Amino acid sequence: MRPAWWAAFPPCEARIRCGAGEHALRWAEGRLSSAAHDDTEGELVLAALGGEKAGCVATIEAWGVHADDLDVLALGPRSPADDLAVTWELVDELRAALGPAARSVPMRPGPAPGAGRAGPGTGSGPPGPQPGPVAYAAPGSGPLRGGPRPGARPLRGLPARRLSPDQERARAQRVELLSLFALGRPFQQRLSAEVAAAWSDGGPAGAAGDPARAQPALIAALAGRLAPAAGPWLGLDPDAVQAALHEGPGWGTAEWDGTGLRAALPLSWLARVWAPGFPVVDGHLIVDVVEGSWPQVQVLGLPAPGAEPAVLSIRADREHWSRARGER
Amino acid sequence: MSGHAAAAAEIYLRLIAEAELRQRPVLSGPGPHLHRVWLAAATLAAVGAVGPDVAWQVVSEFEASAGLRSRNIGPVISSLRRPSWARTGARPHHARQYGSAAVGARQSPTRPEAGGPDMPTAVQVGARLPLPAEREGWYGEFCLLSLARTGSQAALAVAARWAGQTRRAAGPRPRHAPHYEVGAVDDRGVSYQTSLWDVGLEDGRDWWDCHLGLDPAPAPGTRWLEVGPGSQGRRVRIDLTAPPGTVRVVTEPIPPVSAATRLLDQAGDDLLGIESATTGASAQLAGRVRQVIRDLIGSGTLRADDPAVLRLAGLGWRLGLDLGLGGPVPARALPAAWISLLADGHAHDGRDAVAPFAADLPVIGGARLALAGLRSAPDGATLHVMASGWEPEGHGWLERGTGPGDSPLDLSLSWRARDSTGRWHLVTGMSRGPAAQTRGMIKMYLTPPLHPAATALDVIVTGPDRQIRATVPLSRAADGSWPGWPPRAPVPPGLPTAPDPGQ
Repeated sequence: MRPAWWAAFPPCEARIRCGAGEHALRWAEGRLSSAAHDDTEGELVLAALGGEKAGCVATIEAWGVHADDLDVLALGPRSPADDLAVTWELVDELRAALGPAARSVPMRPGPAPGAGRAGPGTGSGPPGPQPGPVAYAAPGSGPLRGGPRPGARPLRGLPARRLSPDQERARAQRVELLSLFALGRPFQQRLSAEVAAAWSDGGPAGAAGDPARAQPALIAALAGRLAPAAGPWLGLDPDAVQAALHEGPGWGTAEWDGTGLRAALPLSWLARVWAPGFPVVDGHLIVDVVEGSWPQVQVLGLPAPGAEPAVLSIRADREHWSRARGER
Repeated sequence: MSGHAAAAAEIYLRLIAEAELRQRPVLSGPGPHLHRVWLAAATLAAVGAVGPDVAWQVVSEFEASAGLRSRNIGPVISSLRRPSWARTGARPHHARQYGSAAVGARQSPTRPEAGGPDMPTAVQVGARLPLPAEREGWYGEFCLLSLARTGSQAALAVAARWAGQTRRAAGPRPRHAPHYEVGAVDDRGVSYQTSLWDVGLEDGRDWWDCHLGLDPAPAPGTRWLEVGPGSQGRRVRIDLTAPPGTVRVVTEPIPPVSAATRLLDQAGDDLLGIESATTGASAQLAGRVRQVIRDLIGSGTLRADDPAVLRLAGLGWRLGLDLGLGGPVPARALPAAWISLLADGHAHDGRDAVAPFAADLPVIGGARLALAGLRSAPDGATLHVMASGWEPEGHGWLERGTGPGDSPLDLSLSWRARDSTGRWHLVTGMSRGPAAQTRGMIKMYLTPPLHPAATALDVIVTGPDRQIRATVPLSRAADGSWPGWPPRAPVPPGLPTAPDPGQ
């Protein structure tokens, strides 16, 4: 049986400010949760009835809202070298500049406990094989209650003009998404994977409108992530890599067309291969995961365009994936 | 545009955005950025290959992505502000004409009802109103060409200038236009306020082409209007019941032409217009035109061997421009207007003269138009038009690069003119003012100048499925002035006279 899309991801954690304290948010097996809030749905119901929404709960809710949001793929990272300049300070500043409408998800992170904090964006790729989840705590400290951190300044260049309700909503959602990105690179990768997985089988359940209208955005999302990996694999300019969505059985195709690589891959490639961080391993373009789970999986890898894919066993070593011992 | 073609064009645009993002672009500061993605989006939106909402969305996502990667967070939020042209309900004329769901230009908010009160109509005036002395003894004059009006607005097309000075030792001629305030009254005793609008730069030019707005607009049934007082209490009476002049208007059906073809033809016009003004200037636009062609072909909107592509490439070859493909093409493959411009584009032989005429044109592309006179100059001519249901959105976009806040180029109507000597004229610029009083009044700048021997001018307006040709008279009268040119205003004895515009 084919492994779940999240099989190659290790769990990860981030600590955020929640009420007067701080709690760990944990992502594992395709799900975001908080050990401090075991009845998230119940808390959301209470919040809807007028109760205060805890920061952890709001974050988990936001994660669910954006789990099929194509903006995640439009704005999110394309490659390990593609750093997003999203920090908690930035999110605070945006909230300060944009007012209460942008503060629908109060989840200012708390200080990381103890030493060894890692900032968002500093831990690119999934963590290595260690016992238990790796913590990616956001930097900074200070309470969220009452608004942004003291000293947050309005951002230059933001429009001061009146916005329509739709624009206000879009702006709040954008800030909300940035706050999810601010959880750190591992969460950016996982959220991207979740969106790709949601759109992999004809679009998310209950998607508004015609899923076919999302095709151009999905093709661009695939191309934008395949090119930075496949270009160097062949010693090509990434612009010479063309991507299309493969639909139907099989992993797709990858051919040399005389000037560049022409590949057709399923959208699930983003979730199963690209996001866990092994689009190219040991000279092979990885096109699918066939078995296993983190930290060791069996994959299909192409040694060259047009070649038959080989089954490889690869293993994670911190942020790096390589052929498992005895595979060569 | 089919759904498949629209999707292909959107994919093309999004892949451009991905490629640009790999270059780690820096969008500095707030405001419009004419980056590669925007320019491609503007091109594809103008021809309806992608809808304006899609064009805006791709640009917005690109700018936000670039901002996130360059630590410039402004675009991350500001790019969410959807410009008016990308909002639901904005639909271009040509898209509607072609039955396409794609959109390329903004529908005028003032689109009139058929035969309704917004139908512009013009009446020829052809009178000179001398003005009293203003600063430093300089006195000006208004050449009132034509009155154009709808049920709610009215404006006189005016050529204004300083005509002379009362004191020889006075200071230099003012750099601004004469702005002596006049008023108007009608046969019913109704008074009108007038304001001079759309004057343009105060750069000391010889003539200012402008509009004298009337407030209120003359009510239906008004028989005449007197404008003044000018110098020595002079007034100009405008007969609003005068029959139409000797303007011949012909409407002809034309084969449907795609918006992409019209865009490339417009690009050719723009190249020639710019080249006419300054030799070699078109070379600065070659890269932009090359990009436009590449985007239209790359998005699947046009084939590389489309006649529009080939003739534009052929024009580029004749201008010494490398437009990326094509080469010499026979003259017969080029529009007659381009051949004419290639021959006479640099002419500087136009007369200083005015031609007051009036012509109400049939509806074309949903637009209602009235021609309201013209002023000729050595290097070109200014044609006055009142339009309802059409605005020249994005005109000159190739040269200026329409900004993201602007509407995409409107390709629903194209304008050219040909004088009676066979010389063609392109519209190299359009100008309209912000004043409500003169809304709909447009100045169109024709290049090259009218041939000095021209006796008539065909103003040719081409819409999606038909073409209107209005032939307006320019023939010189025995006294050296053009038809409608009034007797010259008396000049006080001993004062210098201004040169005769007909000379």
